[in-house]
Amino acid sequence: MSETRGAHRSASISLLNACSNACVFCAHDDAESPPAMASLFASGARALTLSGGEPTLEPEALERALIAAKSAGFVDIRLQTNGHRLAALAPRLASLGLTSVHLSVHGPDAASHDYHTGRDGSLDALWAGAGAALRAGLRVVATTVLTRSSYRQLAELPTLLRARGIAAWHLAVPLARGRLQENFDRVYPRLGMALPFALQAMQIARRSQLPTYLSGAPLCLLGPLASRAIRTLEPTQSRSFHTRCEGCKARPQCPGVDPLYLARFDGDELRPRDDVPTSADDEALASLFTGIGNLAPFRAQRTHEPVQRSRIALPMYGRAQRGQQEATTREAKTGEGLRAILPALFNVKPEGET
Amino acid sequence: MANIGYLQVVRGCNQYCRFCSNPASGYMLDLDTARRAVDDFAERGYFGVILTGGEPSLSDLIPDITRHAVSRGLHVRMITNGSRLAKAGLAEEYFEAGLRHFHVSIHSCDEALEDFLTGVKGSHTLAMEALENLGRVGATVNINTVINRFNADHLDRNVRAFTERFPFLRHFVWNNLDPSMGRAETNRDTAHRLADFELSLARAMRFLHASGRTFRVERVPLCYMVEFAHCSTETRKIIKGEERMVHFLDEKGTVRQTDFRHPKAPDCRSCTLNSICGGLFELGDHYDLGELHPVFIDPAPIVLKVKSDPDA
Repeated sequence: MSETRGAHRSASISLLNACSNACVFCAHDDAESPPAMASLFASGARALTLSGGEPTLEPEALERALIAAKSAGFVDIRLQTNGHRLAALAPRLASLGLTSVHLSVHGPDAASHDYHTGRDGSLDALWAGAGAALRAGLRVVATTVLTRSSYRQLAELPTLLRARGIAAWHLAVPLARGRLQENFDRVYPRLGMALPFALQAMQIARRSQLPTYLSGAPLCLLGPLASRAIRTLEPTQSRSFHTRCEGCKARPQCPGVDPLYLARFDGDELRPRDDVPTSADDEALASLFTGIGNLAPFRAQRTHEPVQRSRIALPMYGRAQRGQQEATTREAKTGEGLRAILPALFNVKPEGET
Repeated sequence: MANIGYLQVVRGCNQYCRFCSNPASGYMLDLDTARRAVDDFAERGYFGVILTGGEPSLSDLIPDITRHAVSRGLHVRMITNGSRLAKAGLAEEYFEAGLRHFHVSIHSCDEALEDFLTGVKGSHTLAMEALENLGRVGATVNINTVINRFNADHLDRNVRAFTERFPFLRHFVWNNLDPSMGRAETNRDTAHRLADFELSLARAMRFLHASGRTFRVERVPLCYMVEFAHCSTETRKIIKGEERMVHFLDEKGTVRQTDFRHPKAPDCRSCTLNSICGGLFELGDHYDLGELHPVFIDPAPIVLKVKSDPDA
């Protein structure tokens, strides 16, 4: 797979499918055998991302890939990794020509990050790996995926990432594929709730001088920050638009919303924009990041109907049914009847109590 | 601790709500029993009593019960659909007797929808007239809304519409539908999913908060109301160690509730709000534990807010 991006046309190769994390939002699919490095280089790409699964699980294959990439002529070689084995491998990988490391940070603390990766200790391992990569002279960038469990802590991340030496930050609205499609209700955030937190975090990142970039968000929910998010890393054909989007001037640049999200919530947050956000200079920044590689296929899935549709024809529902224990007579039970159901008020001990 | 007792006065109603949790049982309170219940609340040191039903205003005993409760030092409120309070004079009569705080149940600002939900044409108009009358006598009026599939997407429009027309409304209560009880159990079309109301509830809460109003939310797990966790009825009761007693006019009889924690999902164990969250009420097989998700925010400010500011 290859795409035009920034200074260098970039390509990516998935080295293996296995992973040592089990991220709740993983939308990655098993890759077929990758194309040869030489042919990717011949197609014009000068940057190459090595991804997985988790490429560090097979260090020898990773080293062979690095050597092949370098000898093919790639000038910028990146590694997408969960960082677990990076502490041990970073110096060797750097010496073989690796130029940068792409990590995913899901929360500022271990509780949050480790919940997302499904693996205890994964945040500690990640920071150890990031430190080793920096000491080996590698550039380290980080992605954070917006989930129901992560978006409220985004504002804490810019300062932390800067302190850890992270060079750039990518905030990603996820794609409802693979494991995320299965976990949609538990994981996929309501955009109208989550994106204000993302925008706040982007402002904090700007003040912290951490270059930041947001992908996959419909532009109508980004207000004045839309111009900092108009590039999308994922193929746009996986995205959908609401009929309401038809008059939107920003539509040609907009990534739209995930089709499953649209089916579930009927795009009730979407509004046409009456301006055209201009492209900011995030091309170079975006080029530091690679997408998730092979996307799991979109599986046809029944989703819960948006509630808005329940009101389309109210009379169709008919008169309400009687409750199971509901009385059918209008006769009022009072006096003695009340003693039977509220015995404590009459100093009568209820049955079975001594 | 401000415990409040619930007293069902009559279990008949002049509406027929699709999701009614306490439909007709045939029972009706008499004055002797009502006095006994009020005395019992007073002896337990309760702060107040809420007259409920069915539709309590269908009982002629309200002024008498109220006077007795006031004489025992209890604060008195009523949960009503407001239809009888649309009639001239009743609001004054209640107010005179000492009943000065009303929770009026209205579920939608959309007239056709409100009438559909209550099963009676004209309900919305009567509720609006009741609000006029209650406002005129100077009563404290809250709005009670049952969150259901039909109003889940416009809880924010509701509060905007109600507060615009009746600026004296200062407090709102949302009850998430309990599909295990009453008519909601048989009218499954009223059931929604948590994500259906999440956005409109958040907008409604933000609007009320920004306008200086207050609210309570019942039976909504904290992951669906994180920013206003301190306004969850269950969370407040857990933090303050409060109890609640209800005298049901049916076979359930007297129920004293002291534990407000309910079923949760395995992932809730990772959640930092787990210990102060009510989870999902005993909601039959309707709500999906798969919708619950951990959040990782500091619970301390929530606990502090509940403890330090009773009116937050």
